[in-house]
Amino acid sequence: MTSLQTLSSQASSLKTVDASLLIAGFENPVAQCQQAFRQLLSATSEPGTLQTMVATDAQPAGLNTASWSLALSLFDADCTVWLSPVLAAQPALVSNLLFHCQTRLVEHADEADFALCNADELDTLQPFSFGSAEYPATSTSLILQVPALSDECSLSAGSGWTLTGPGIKFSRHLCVAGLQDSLQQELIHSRNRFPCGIDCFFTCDHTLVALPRSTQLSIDQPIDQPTDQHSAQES
Amino acid sequence: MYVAVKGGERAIDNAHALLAERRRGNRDVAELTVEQIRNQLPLAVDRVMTEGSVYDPELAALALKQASGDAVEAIFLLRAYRTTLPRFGYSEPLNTETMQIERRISGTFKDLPGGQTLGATYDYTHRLLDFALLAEGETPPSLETDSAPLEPCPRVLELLNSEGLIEQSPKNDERPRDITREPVDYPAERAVRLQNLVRGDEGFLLSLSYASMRGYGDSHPFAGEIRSGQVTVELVPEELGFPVVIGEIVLTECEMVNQFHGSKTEPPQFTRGYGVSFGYNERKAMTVALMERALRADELGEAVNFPTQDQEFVLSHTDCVSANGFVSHLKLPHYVDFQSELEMIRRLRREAGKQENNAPASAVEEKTV
Amino acid sequence: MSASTAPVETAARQHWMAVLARADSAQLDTRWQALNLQPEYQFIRQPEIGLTMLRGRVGGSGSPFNMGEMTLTRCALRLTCGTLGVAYIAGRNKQHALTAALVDALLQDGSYHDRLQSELIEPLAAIYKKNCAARDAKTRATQVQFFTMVRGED
Repeated sequence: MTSLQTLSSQASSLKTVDASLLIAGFENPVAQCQQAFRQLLSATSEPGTLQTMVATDAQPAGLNTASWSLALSLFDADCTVWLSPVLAAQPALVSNLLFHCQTRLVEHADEADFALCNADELDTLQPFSFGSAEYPATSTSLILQVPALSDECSLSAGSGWTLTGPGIKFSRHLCVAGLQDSLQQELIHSRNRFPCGIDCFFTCDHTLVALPRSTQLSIDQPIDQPTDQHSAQES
Repeated sequence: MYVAVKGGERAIDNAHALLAERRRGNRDVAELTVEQIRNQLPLAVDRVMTEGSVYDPELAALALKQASGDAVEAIFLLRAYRTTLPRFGYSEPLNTETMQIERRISGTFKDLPGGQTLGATYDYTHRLLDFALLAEGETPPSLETDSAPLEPCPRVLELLNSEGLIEQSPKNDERPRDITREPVDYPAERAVRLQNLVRGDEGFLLSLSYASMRGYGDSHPFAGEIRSGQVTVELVPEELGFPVVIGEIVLTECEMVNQFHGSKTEPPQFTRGYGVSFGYNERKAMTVALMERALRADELGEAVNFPTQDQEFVLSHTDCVSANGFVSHLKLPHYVDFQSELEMIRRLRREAGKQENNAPASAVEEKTV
Repeated sequence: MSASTAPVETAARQHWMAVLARADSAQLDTRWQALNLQPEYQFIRQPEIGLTMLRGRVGGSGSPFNMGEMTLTRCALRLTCGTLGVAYIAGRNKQHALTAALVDALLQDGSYHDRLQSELIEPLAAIYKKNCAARDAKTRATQVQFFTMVRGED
């Protein structure tokens, strides 16, 4: 449980806020948070579909629009967030997360409810919490910023996957650019640990794709498989 | 088992309209405003805030108006509203020692620094109905004032501390578990017990306190100190990094002193029970303090002989919203449940009847119901 | 602190923020309107209503525990010069939080500071002090003055 942390760490977290770097959050917080949450629900209930997220005018340096919308709608004073080294070194990002979300930033990834990370920084899932058999929901949710996302296998440097499982009628294609090979292998193999596991949210610009732990993935074979054409054409 | 039953929609709509009419009462009588409830029924408002677990006198007064004065229904309304609001973090721990005192008494020392201050209390009233209040019109009471500054009021129990005769409240700055975010595990730590008791049903806790003093428990404490007054609330915004005052709230605090015969590691000394409530709800603060101490039996190595000392018995039944919900659920349709029980009783009686008919000595004739 | 603003002493800012938080909403509004200032600003955080969990201490001075929540309205805005004003106010009055955030921002600005201090903060602080003193005076009149009845021969 995360509750036995000291009071002082909450007031003065890892970093402090630089007031000059603060930017506006959602203009209409209630409606826009609900909208973002609805999009997140759609993304998670239909894994592999691309969602265009509700946006703010600007986002702090280091975050893309979709990640910032997720942060504004999901993070609060009761959750813990781990930032990858590159993101943690962005004062505007840290200031705005602390200010708008009152997030508790943690140093150890396995203490985090959420992890925010760039794809090129992550080669393993090992540092994160996979949850326990009693409380699988306590695992870390990973928000991974990637250079490109597509539901067609057209990205040159992307990992082409075929997704199957709950929320997918037959199968669905997903192409995520910029993932390291070792991470990709771990993502595939971590499915064996269900119900424990990491729910992944890939973000790129305004786009969000969810890959919950219940979705099976295999690296695309050249042979055509029956695909769920309808959702593959959604953008 | 529940089955969906349709057809009540019109009846429900009309029942709500009838409820609204009854709440309003005779329209020849002026309508009660929320501001009037807030100002003139403040103790009802305080109870709703304490058990609703939200300090906001206006919302509590509104809940009372909407609930036709039913405290438990009003508490339910406030709890429900609470769930619609985001949480902006946590206050700094309140410093009740610097409370702007409006009442402060001690049952353990007559003369104490800061003195005994009665404040606005029902304690010395004669409990005779005041028919002047029934008559229209009012005469403001002549109020004496004393503009000499109030002396500081240090905690009474600290007086015992100088001799080492009372236990110290252990102090650490761990984040206390929050029962509105995490379920309670037993045995529960002291912070969890206290949070549960503060929002617990006043009547239930009052009766348990009474029982624990009458012999169903091992507790007959002294009221070391009771104080009510304004307490400043501060929090530390992330963007500022220093505490800022957000306003004042009224709190009532009670510290009970119990004797403790000592253990292998501890010499005989006094122990404490602590209680607090929103507003001027002194009865509630006292019952919380009594029960808080009663539930420390296990921790202090005392025998747990009575339900009043049993954490799970007390803490899992304090919440009036849960209790009311569970009792009220019996009003829901249990048609199928009941049909099956009815069927079973009929069958048992039929079978019993058959056996008796088969028995030669029996002359009882049974008809199927 | 933003670069365009002279550093403000923390204690001074804490004082005016406390005065603004404790002020009666209507009195604050009247005095603010009378100043007739119309600064331009951008919201960093729209006025919003929420809850804060109140923490007490076991025995008044021991380990912290969660006592219950209270309603709270907060607001943050930035003046065109870059100064950030924030407000955290007990209760659910968005206008109160907005005005307090504006005043907080302007008080950090040397050209408005003295006027706001004398026409807004000082009078509001005086009202608060007077109300406290009036309450204290009523309370003090209920203080018990014990005297001991001498009994027996000794």
